[in-house]
Amino acid sequence: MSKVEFKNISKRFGSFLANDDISFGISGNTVHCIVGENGAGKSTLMNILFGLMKPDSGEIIIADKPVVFSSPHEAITAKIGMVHQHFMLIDDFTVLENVILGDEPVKGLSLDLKAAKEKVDALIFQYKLDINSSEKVTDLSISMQQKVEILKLLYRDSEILIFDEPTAVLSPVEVSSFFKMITSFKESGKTVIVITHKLNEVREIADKVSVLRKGRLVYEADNVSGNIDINELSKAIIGGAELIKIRPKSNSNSMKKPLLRLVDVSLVRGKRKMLDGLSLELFNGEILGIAGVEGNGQSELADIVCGIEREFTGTVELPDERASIVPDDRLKKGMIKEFSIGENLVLKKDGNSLHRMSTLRKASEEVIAEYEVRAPGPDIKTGSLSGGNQQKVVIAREIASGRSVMIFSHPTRGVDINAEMFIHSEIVKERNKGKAILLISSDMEELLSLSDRLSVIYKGKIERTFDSNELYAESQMPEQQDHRKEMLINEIGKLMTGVSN
Amino acid sequence: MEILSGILSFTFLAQIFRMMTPYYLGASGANFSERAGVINISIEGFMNMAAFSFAVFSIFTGNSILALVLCLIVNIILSIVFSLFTVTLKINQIVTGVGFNLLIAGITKFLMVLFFSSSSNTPRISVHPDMAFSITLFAIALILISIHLLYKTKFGLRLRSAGENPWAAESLGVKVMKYKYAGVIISGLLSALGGIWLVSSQNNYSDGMIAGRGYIALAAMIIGKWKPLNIFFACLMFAAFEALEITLQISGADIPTQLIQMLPYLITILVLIGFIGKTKPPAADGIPY
Repeated sequence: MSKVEFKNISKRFGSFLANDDISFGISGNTVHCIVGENGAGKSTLMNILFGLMKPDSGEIIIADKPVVFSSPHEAITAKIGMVHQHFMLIDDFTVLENVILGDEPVKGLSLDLKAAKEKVDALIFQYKLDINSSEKVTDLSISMQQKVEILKLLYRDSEILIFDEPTAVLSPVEVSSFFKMITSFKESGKTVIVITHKLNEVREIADKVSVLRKGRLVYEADNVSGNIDINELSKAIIGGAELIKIRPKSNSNSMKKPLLRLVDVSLVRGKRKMLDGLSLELFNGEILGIAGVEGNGQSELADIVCGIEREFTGTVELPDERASIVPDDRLKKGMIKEFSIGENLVLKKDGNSLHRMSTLRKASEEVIAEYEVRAPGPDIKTGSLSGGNQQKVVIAREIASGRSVMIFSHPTRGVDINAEMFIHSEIVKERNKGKAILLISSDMEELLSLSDRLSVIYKGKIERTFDSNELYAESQMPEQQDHRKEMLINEIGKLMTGVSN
Repeated sequence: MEILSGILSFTFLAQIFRMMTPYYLGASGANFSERAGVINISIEGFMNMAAFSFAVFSIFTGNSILALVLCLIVNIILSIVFSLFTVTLKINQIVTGVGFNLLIAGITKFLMVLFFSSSSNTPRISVHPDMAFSITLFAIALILISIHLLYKTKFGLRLRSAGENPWAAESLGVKVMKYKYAGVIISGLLSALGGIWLVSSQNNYSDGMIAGRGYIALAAMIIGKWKPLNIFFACLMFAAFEALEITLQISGADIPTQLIQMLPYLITILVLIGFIGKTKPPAADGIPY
């Protein structure tokens, strides 16, 4: 018997069929992953379940009863909870205030903050969430804020927990503790639905997986102790297209010269020392990966190299005035979402030349063709594209700038697997052209498959740099490769968290 | 010497607390509105409307208590209209506020001529002798009332959530619109009391008698960082300058009166320059929902 049953759900936006006759069940007391590319219809389906949208046809059945939610609040009342990709928290409120809002215990005319705190602290203890309910949300890290969102669901006794790309914002260490939490929810009888792009995560946590493509349910599989066929899964996601594995090769017998050199760079923001005597060298024709738990100086490093941050000590040598950058938060730092593709493309151009509409449109059309940007037309607002296509526009602009040092900061965060492969191959292409590339990422797979060398950053300092023969050993059996990779990840993980000291 | 003893006297202190009354009522009102996410720059207009209608009702009913009640009703209606524009119809809050201020300034003048054949002054009004003093006491009590209401009640938590992140609040079942209306109505009621206090203490209504107090109240709210107690101290500061101005004028000190009259406004600008970097309004303040 299914806890949640989708029955012939269809949803249309204009001429676009977001959900096309989707039917499947989610069993109670399991972890069910829903995977698919951006635009495959996962979020639409979950938004329908959570009462944010109404289906055009079809129905949702929960515990044998058909339900129709016209608002998230009705879904919450029916014990369904959702943690969105962008958190719905009030920064200026304490954890406690955020959790009880909308369902406050009252004593007479006042809030019963004591009873509320007791209940919330008991939940924190029960699920080992390890947060202080009196702290303000604005002072919490992203992973802590995610816990506040989860706490909101637990406080309302939600039985069905929906997570939209929950690990996108987490570091590897945080991911594993998040998985433990998911498991404990399942053990306490809850049903967990996880939307994700990451197939190794599916293998690790899912009991069952459903794949959506172009609004349709195309594949379903059970996962018993990690036996799921990842190749089958990825084929189902991208629809039969061949998976291209990028093998990094150091094509570098040519003369190597350092293009970017940082010597003893320190940076203090407020009272915190964000960079602490950091030194590194980046050569032409190589990708240097930077691994680290977020907040250890990566974004400050990027800011300095691309010239945004000038208040540092130490020396930075660069061939150009500044490096080009594909920033971590494209909506905040990479583009203006109200602008057209063409307008975003010329955004960083120097000089005072006027931009004619026709040239903008032509530039836009070229990028749409060359980068396989899925856009209805050249004049569309960039903000209306999916995440992966927005990212392609940013990358196209930065590549076109022609600077010899490029920073890619979390280049594939929140993009689908097709866009991810495309972006990876673009990065390698630029490397092969002789550019020096700094790749900052929290995705270990990405770092290991692209980096020629890999540095681990911890507390504003490079802890260690792995060179290419440490990262890749030729002519080994696949099992040995896997084992080696596991050891490597283990070691990097320790360096990232400062355990190795 | 005479000036100094004037300043150090108990009378002077009492004067400050009296002068504080309209500032704090206006600033607290604005704070409730902004905490719900609605910037209400027509506190000045609200005060003006209240002062005028209180004067008119007092004269026509001869009962200042009844006039007070009627005046509050007028301001509730005014607040609902303001909310209708800014909250329901999502018209720019600043533009609406400016519109209200100008419109009310015009209407009061027009009605003055109509009722009293004078565009500047009403006849003398007999107000209940305890009215002004009671309002001052209420203003002081309002510190605790505001703190309790904002931070210790369900109403306050939800009101603040509407001003910080209405989308998150709505997703948890908070009726955001209702709290935005409530915030604006409270601002209308409190600024009404401020206007009534002015009429009560001067025993008539005169054109332009609000004299920018509604705007200074907004400055006090910002300097006070949207926190009831801090706002109170900011209001005390403005009141102290106003009291000083009067003391200096009475004592006949050899300082140009225009210069003294500039003081509160000058201080407002200086203090805002000093503080503005460190103050943070509610996150969704002024953003239509």
